[in-house]
Amino acid sequence: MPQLSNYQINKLSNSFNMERLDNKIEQYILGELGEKDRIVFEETLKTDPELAQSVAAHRALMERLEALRLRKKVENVLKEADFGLKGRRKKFLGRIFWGFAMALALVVGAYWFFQQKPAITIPKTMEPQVQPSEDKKPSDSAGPEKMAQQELPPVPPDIPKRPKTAETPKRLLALAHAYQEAPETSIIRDSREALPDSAKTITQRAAEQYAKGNFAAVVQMLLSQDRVAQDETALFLRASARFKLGQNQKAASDFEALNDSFEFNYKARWNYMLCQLALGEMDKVHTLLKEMEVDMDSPFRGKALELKSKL
Amino acid sequence: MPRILDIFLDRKTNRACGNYPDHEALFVGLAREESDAIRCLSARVAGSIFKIGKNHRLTNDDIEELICDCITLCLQKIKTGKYVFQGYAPATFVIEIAKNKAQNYRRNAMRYETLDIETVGEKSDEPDYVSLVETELLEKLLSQLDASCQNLIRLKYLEERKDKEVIELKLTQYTTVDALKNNRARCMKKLLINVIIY
Repeated sequence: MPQLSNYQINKLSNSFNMERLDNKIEQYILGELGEKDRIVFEETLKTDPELAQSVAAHRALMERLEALRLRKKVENVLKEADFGLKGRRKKFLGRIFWGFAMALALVVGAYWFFQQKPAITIPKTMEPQVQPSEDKKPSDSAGPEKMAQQELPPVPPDIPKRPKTAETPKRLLALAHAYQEAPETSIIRDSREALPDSAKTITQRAAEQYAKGNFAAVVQMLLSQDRVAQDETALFLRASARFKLGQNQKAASDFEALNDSFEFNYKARWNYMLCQLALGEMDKVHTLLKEMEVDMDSPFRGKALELKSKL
Repeated sequence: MPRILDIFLDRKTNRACGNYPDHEALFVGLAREESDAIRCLSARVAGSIFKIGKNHRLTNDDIEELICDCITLCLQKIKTGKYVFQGYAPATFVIEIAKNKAQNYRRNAMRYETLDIETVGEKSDEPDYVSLVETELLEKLLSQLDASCQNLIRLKYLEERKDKEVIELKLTQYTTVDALKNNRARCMKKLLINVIIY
């Protein structure tokens, strides 16, 4: 620190007093006074208690202003970042809300997932139906029982299977045959009591063959369409024989032709339904059964209900 | 989605404190008055100060004020050199301040509730210029000055602008630094008088 003589100090302080010392206070506190000016100011401070008091007051005021500045800064930063208690509360509530929302979404998702209906599964026991061969020679045709027992070719795995009922074709076939309305015995009796074979009609001879179980022979004898066109009994015989042989499609066609028959319409409709049953056409079966249920005049109403209960 | 993650993972806090890997770095950040440092400190002390406040039966508003007071006081002590880094976390220092201040808060509240002289709390040796009461008072006294004086004092002390910058940017009507200083000194004297009168 440069040494000043008392003379120099007094000279400078007089010049200071001419200026307002108050103007130097801030500079002195902030250290902005030059070296010489600072020395003089400090010397004046020692001798002037009012100046000293003024300096102390200024220093305190500057500290307060600095405190104000710092507080404003902290307040702004905390407000900006929402770090106050309200912000923390908001964050906490926000966490609770989003946590609850996510938990709810998980629960709803799980509920929806488990409530999904399972895809339609095809029972493994269902075997695809195979139509027995039609119009075979009598000697070569197999009985329907044998045909039902035939091994069916395996279904390729990539072919989508048609949804079917739980009924197996075997059972349906068995049911159909069990419920068949066979030709009346009077036709057969009449045929036996008739004249010798040469005098019997073809229908009568066909009836004899039917009674013997030679269904193929019946079909063969009544194959001609002209022959059965005029004789409903013959048509019914042929249809029944075809049904016995498992020629369900042709049998159904014959039975359908008897829908308008006065004598055979109910039997024909019933047997036609049984043909559909044997073919596995369950939609048609149920429709026909329903029609029979509501037909109070149908002699097969009771059987329809019974068969329906079995399906 | 980012907003949800921000809330759950408290990312803002983590992001702010990520800049300060250790106590010393945070101390330096606070000395420089960095916003992230202030945020990081606030996040670390808010929970503890909240508990302290509740133990002293302070209201939530008082607790928020307490948090702000304590952080400001910490910054002030760092700036004046009264708080020097010694290896401890700044958060610990702030929490200690909070414990003392919370007691004063409670005593002041009780003083207003009862007229018992014995319940008057002891004043600390140092004046508490950072408190909300003091800063609001100063702002009020500042607002009583004329606009020119308010501007001069704000530019220098609240915005920390250099005199040269003020002259160059023509933020006041003065064209020289000497004129600026002389007039500011005059305004400071006026403010001082207001403070003394109050």
